[in-house]
Amino acid sequence: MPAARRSEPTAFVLAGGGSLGAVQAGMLHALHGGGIVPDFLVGSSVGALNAAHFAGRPDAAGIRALEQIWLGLRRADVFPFSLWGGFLRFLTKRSYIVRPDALRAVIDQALSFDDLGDARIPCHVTATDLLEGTAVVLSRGPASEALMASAAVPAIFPPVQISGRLLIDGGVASNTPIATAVRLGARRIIVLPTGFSCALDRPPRGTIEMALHALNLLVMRQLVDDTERYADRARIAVVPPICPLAISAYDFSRTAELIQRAKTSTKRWLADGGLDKAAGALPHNEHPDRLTAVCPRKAMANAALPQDEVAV
Amino acid sequence: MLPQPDPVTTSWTVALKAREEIAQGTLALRFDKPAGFRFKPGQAIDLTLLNPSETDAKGARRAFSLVSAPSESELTVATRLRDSAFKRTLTTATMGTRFQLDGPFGSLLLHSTRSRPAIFIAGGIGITPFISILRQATTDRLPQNLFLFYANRRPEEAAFLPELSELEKRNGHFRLFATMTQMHNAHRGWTGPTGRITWASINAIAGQLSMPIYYVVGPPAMVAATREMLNAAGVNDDDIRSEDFSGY
Repeated sequence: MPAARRSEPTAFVLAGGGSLGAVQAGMLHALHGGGIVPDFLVGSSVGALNAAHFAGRPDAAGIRALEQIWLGLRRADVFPFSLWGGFLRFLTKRSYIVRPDALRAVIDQALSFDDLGDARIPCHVTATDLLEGTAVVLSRGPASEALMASAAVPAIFPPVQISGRLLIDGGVASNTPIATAVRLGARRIIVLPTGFSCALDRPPRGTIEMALHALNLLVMRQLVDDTERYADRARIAVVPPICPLAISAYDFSRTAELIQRAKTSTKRWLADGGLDKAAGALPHNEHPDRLTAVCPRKAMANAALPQDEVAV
Repeated sequence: MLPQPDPVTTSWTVALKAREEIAQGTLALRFDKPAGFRFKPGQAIDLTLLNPSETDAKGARRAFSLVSAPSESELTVATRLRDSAFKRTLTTATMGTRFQLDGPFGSLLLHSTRSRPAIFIAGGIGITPFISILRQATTDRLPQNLFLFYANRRPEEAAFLPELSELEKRNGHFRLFATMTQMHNAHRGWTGPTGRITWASINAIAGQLSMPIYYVVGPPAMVAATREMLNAAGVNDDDIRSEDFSGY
């Protein structure tokens, strides 16, 4: 291992949700192609799934296989939602509307190890303690359970019980995977955000799409805040999210486009020395005539907003 | 009953079924498609020689774009012959020679917004993924406008030209623009355009189109130069797709 890496432990941080997680496969492809290797990974929600796949097979073939998983996913593979089933769960006062076995099948298919501790690169998965709101970091134990917990979007999927605690999606936690990476000793952090659907030509529709969109907004804003908050603790670089992005986090039909665009923009970012630039210096792509005025890159530029403006 | 996700990248064993020289220095290899192997037009596979008669530093494994469409019962790849143990073995391998197939992989897939036309730009054997996409689009009668700019050095080296002309006749949504860049040392006649693919020639078509998406496949230097040309003409990176594995 080169001396530089020993003195500067590098973490990849992957967070975000829904179909937009496909961009992280493209980003990993470009980062790997650029010879950038993490000492460990921290993942949350769908980012935890990508992180765990990469941690098990951190090579070109593994990344290609991860892309293939994304290309093969259809909405019903993750959200086998039917009105009737949803209605029944409503009637029976269940706390979720999508049965989780389909997501579990996707997760089990993607994992090359059973126990998180057996990953080839250490991989830490964050979830949220449902009652306390705190981040819980899972670093060993059943990987499948950890990923299910981390991706348990509130009200969509049921909470997962691990060691007596009820856990939900890592994106809801009061602290982000960046905080976790710092605490675990990273001195260089490369954040792979999914971004969010900033350029939709209509507002998010339906319960699941709305939940995924809102959660992505929340996660992105938290990442922006922590990029600022931990700037003196670690060198933090944020891979530019795709912007403008007119694909909903509930749309699984355009993952090839997400992968391609992320691969290209990440390569260009690396070639332009992005790893050594401050996150706040990211350019903002104008997209007039759209619903929203804020997009990830602009949000990055506004990272220094006071806390109370950030609170929901 | 749960919906089953598409198969992930996995390994299969295939046996060489046919070999054909489809252009000067270009071989097409055909295999029976293994039961259960599914892919999307534009994807690629890795082939590994299981019992290579000779090996060298370049190894016994290569990536190839699939030429065949998913609707076909066979898998076809096409490759330029180069001086390596792997490629030498391909030219002499007997029928039945076994390969390990790993795949499919690759995200160079036709976009699903049918109202946006596609402009394919291929250099030499970079044509292969586009053949698969065009065959499937023609079979499916896809209502999407597709344009192919295809550059070769000489007509005798240009693979799939007759088939592409045939596809153009059968598919009213597809137009072909082939050009030769080195006619001065060509052995075969050519009455079509000559010289490199220029922005002027692309823009003569693209200028009429609403938000086309560009796909570029060829040798790395050609892909990089084409990207620069498109960027210089104001095409956003987000509308340019390319594949950088060099399976040619």
